[in-house]
Amino acid sequence: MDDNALIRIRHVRKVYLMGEEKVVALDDVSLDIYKGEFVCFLGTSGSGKSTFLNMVAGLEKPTRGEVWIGKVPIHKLNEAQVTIFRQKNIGFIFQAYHLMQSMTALENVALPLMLKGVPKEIREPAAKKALAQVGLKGYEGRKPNQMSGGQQQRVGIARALVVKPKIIFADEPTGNLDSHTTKDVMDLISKETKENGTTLILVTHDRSIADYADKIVTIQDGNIINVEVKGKKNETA
Amino acid sequence: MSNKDILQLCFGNLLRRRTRTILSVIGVIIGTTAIIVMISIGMGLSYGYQEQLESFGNLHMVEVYNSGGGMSSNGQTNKMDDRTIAKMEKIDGVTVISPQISQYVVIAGDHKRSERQIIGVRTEMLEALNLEVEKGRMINESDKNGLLFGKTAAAMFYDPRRQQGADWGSTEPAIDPLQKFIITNDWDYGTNQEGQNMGETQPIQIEAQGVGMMASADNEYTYNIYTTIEFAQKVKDEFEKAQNGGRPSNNPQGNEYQDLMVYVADLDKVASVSETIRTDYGFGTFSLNDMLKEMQKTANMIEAVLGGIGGISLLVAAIGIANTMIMSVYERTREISVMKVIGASLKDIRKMFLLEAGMIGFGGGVIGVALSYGISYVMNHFLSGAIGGAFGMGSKVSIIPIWLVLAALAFSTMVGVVSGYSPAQRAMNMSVLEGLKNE
Ligand SMILES: Nc1ncnc2c1ncn2[C@@H]1O[C@H](COP(=O)(O)OP(=O)(O)O)[C@@H](O)[C@H]1O
Ligand SMILES: [Mg+2]
Repeated sequence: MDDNALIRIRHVRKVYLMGEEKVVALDDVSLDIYKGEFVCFLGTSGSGKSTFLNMVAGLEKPTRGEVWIGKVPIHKLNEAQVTIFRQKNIGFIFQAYHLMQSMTALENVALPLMLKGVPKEIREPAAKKALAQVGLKGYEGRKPNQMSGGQQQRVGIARALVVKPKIIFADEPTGNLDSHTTKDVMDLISKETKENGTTLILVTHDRSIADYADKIVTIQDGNIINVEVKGKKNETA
Repeated sequence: MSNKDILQLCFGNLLRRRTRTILSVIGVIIGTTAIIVMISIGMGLSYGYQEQLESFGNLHMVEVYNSGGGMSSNGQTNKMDDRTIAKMEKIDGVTVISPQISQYVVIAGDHKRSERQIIGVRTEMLEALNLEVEKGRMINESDKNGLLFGKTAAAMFYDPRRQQGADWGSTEPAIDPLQKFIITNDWDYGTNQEGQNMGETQPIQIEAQGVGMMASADNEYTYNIYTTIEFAQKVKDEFEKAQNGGRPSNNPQGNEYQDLMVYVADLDKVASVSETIRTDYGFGTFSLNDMLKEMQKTANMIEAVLGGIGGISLLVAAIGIANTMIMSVYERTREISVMKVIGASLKDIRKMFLLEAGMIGFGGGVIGVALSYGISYVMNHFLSGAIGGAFGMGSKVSIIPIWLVLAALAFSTMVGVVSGYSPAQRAMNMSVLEGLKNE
């Protein structure tokens, strides 16, 4: 365990109560993630990947254990504090894109900036630039329902990139896309995050996607069973 | 998030759900209009009472009688003299106070005569009454025997050799009011019976000088002739002396007056001034304002009942707004969650929903105000004749004062915000992960 890592996850456990029954989504998970790293959580459905990601992103509180990002104890923040932290440091890419249906591509990309209070004159050019970056020049005025899944996910990526976050979280970002589009989108995500030095945490059940990552963390039944670092030998947790 | 952006977002959301927005706005319009129109009818009623009473006399005036023995509630007796008047002048709300000395006389000039009340009051009182002078000037304190004619008083002179009494209804001066007059106690003065029916009473003649005539014939002062207290007192004393067979009256009340006039500039204080004079000084009072207060109590009650009926419709509208907002929160669960995850603060989320609800309330309020003005206009122009008379209303059936407009707008906006509060709270506290799963 390395206290200099950007993200430090220590003995995190998450138990859900389903009525009387306890569901252990995460058992006892510890992990270090470094700045600029592309980390992939790999595992079958129900293994606890999403729970893990949500815990790190502060969307859920662990039952036990600690999550530190830099000097910030994410597990201790209340919702208002964690919202402010996310606004400043974190971007999200969703499997279902989660674009605002009533807004144009440009407005969708500009939305995180608007939420931060950035004025229109600044956020719209920035959004336009981000759209161009993901190859959607000329699509600024399109509504989500006028775009393909791949295009919508590109808008989603642009929306995550536009705030220049330190960390981007992506939960099955290609889960709704065909294999050809999946490759384009993965190329785009890994290229853009590498260029900006953004830390990327991506969840997938697909080994071929995991191969884009610098570090592959395999999860099974709520535990890390393997951490594979590119260019290094497997190290078992 | 900047307020401008929130506002735009809210507008967008309301427009997107156009039909439902319009329906909730209509609810508020009906509620606001009902409240405003109902209260405006109550106001019209109350104004009608006031109009009616004003035609009877001056609402600022309290008349004080030397009755009730001048026994105040703490058992002290008060003489209605200059010392007491000086004390009463300090009662909160009293603008001018004056004794009122009146004597019914025969007054003659230029071969014409009239039977009139001559009333002496302080000149400040005449000034406070703000009576316009059409001819000549006001009385001033240095006038020894000056007379100010009410317009009707000047018209009521007649030639006693030609007719028995004055013509009623005329307001054209029958004499030049700016001349010398004779004041007498001979009721046959100027007729061929002159001086023959005096009995024990000594005939007297007092000279007086007309100095002015009032412009208006539409008030209670128009029938009288006004003069200074000193001159009125002199006339009164002479009349009493003549009746007593030449002996000066041994005025049993000393220097006491019989009547006072009290002018209260602030209409809201007339009632308290009357009350103080009755309880602290023990004198009797009369003011039209007392009647107005009673009538206004009735009007206020009617206003409250009518306003309550309007209020119920706005309450129904509030339920409509709450329903719209709750539906909106449910429909936008995913949207709200996404916004939260990508950086919307909880405060902004709540602000958004409160603002949307407030906009429905305010928008409905504005249209409701406009509609109310329309309805009020129609009622005043087409109904005031028809029902106005039947309900004892004045010239207006419905009056919408500006405070009612502002209050209605504030109220409708508040209804919106309050109805939106719980849905907004729900949106704020909603679990982000639940919202994102919801597909
Ligand atoms: N909100 C919840 N309530 C109860 N059980 C949950 C909840 N979220 C996840 N789980 C359970 O926790 C386990 C891990 O879920 P998840 O992290 O979503 O898996 P993955 O993303 O790897 O498919 C699963 O068994 C799932 O049923
Ligand atoms: Mg999952």
